[in-house]
Amino acid sequence: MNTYIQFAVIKFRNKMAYRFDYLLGILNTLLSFVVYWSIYKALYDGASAVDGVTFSMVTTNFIISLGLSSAFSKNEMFLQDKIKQGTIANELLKPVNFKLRMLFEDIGEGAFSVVFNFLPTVVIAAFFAELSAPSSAVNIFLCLISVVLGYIVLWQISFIVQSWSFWLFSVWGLVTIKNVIINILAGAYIPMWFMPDWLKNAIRFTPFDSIYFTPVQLYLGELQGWEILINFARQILWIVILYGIGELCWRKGIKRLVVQGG
Amino acid sequence: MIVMKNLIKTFPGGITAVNDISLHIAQGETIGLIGANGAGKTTLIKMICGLYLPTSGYIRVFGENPYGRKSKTPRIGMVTGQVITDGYNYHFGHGSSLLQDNMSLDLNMRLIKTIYKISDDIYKKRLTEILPEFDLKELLHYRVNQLSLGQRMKAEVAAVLLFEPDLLILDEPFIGIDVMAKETIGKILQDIAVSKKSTVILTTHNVEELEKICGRIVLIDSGRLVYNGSFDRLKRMHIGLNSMHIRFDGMPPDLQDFPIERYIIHNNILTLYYDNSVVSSKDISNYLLSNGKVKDILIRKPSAEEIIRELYKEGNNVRNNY
Repeated sequence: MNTYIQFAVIKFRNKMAYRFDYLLGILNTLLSFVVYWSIYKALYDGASAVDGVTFSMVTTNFIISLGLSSAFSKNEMFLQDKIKQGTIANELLKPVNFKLRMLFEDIGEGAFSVVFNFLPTVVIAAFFAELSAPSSAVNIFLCLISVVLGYIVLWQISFIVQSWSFWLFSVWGLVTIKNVIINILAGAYIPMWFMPDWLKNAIRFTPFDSIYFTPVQLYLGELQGWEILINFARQILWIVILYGIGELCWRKGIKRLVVQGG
Repeated sequence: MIVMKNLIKTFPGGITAVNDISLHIAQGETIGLIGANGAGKTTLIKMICGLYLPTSGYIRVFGENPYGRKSKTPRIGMVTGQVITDGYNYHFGHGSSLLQDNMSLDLNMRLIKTIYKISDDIYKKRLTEILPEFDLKELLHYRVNQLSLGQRMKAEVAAVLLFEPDLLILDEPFIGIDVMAKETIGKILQDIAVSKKSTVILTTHNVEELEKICGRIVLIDSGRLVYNGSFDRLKRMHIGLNSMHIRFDGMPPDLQDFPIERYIIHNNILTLYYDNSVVSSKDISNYLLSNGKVKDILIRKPSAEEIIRELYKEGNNVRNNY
């Protein structure tokens, strides 16, 4: 395990070398928060709550999804580059699990974004925006667990789309579409509270709401008792299902590589 | 250590890249793999690494089927020096680049240390041995994509040497590398083959370099094995033509009916190409010395490269006759 943690550390250190990149990263994160915050401020127009959802709940929802997407600022062309350049061949000779290594390198990169892009943004945002405090210490703990699970769900989806580069010339378009779908259906841009019931019910059957919305609900203390367990179970179920699909794509892809040539 | 029997690889689409090759390679050997572009060298290498599944035939590497080899030990290291394209950009290294482009050389080396679980002491020791050899010490803090082609290639070789693979495969490692570095790499390869008992497989078009490094050469052409043996034996096969360059004071004499292959007269210099097994150098030079005013004579045996060129031609003739 120490080996894989080293992968994350090396990736983190590598990101530190690009100083200008992280200054712009802060600006980028802050800018998207300000834009989002201004739009909702105008929409609320001084009202304390819309449909029982307060303005601070909305901004908190956005901050948490911003945090998660910062953590998930991975290079989604990674696998495609490896396959197209043929360096995948050398990866397979190395005595480490390729997928696990990829996951930990992404964690290293994500940790960098959280520390150097997201946290400064939260500190700055706290000066002018009203954020909801966590409902309790227990809820913060539960929220963190579900953030980790949500991250793995997000990572698996990304891996599946990336693995299609064994068959496709470029997955760039698919990755972009995937990210838009996730941002909308997972409730990053429009909180799930405002979605029509039929859409909300449909999303309950997809992995998307377990990415951002479950952690948000836990943070705000909207889930109680059994609901908490059910939501954790849903996250874990999706991890298992997506892992199966990802592993299938990966194995089929490798099989194709060794039979047809890369 | 590597055993291949009647190995065939046919790609979907019908191209047979490796056609019925049988070969044994012992631990600690340095093998030069030679072949024209598209001869099947890389396909053969990839089957040895388990990255291609043979269509038929038998292959064992370290006593295991290389495809789906779980243990990954003994270690296999691979370096490739071809520039390839992914449709957008040109990239360095086909099928293998150990180094990550957007990372400093220092962190890249640490990555290899982590992957191969090299202890701190050994890592430091090897690094101080390897880096000065390749003049890489001052380049440690550069990102790999800031290095020149030659520096990059040296860095790749240094990286693969860092974990001392039991089987080291170098596919065209001399691209963009200067004469001094070539010599260094050659020396180090011979070194690790002897001291670490590593097996080295080297492909290059640079036959001169192979001759210095490799104990045995394997020549493949259109997927078939054309020659397998030492350079010395290759030379004794008398393939290729000797050449004689003679400078005269005045006109060269008439050659009458010496069985030479062809000749060129330019100013006062006569150049002859002849097969040494048909007519001896002694007979020709004796004749010329007694019939003309010779100022200077230079006799050249065919170089390894010329011999190999002849072997390709022979291979073509054999195929055409079938």
